[in-house]
Amino acid sequence: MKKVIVACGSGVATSQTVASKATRLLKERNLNDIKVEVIDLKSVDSHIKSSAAYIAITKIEKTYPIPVINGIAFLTGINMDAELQKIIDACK
Amino acid sequence: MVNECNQHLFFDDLIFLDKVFQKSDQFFDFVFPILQQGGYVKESFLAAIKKREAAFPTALPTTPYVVAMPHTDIEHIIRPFILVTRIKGSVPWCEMANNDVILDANFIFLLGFTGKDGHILLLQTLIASFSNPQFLAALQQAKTKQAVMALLTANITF
Repeated sequence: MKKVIVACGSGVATSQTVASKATRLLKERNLNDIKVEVIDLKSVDSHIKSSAAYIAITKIEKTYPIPVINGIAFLTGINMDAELQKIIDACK
Repeated sequence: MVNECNQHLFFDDLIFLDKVFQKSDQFFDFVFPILQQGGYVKESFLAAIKKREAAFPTALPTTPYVVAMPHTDIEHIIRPFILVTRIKGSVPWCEMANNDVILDANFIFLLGFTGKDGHILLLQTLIASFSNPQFLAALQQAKTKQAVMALLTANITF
């Protein structure tokens, strides 16, 4: 099981929406061993080590050792397939 | 609460059509007294929403119209609501995750959310609908508040 994390400023609307969208797209591709988990923005650093990719919905001020995915794509639909592919590649 | 129904989030008196604002703070200053008098938000809401929008801006580069969806932490909300504003022209609004990019927002969906009322799915449907160009075009063309309300309740379901 691979873990992908998603975080937003308050955790009440945006990150939940992105997580459910990404989860549904992965399921449609029968990628059931990738789990998308909503986490608190403050705890991103502690989750990085155990995660395959980070779906970001806030401005990224630093570099991470795992691929950072553009979460806005899952809200707007623009470039969504390309961002989804990045998640899939990161979990290979 | 009779059931989980979207009428519980949209209200006739929280729909505003063709309003003019120069910047986002002006929008918040306009809606705050209305929300406070309606018993939707606490006094702390105004400062909290301005602060959060500055740190985590919420305009989405959707087409054909840009939608901003400001929201803040649940402790400032008394009862859940979605305030819908159609801007006359547009108002400059910073892009989500690309804080330095300023978009021209045409719609503002101000989300008031208490986190324990089971509306998460409905909010997800709402946000997903922003990527539907037909929905946004219909909202832009709606002539009356009643027409906007009909579009919202017909499209935002789960």
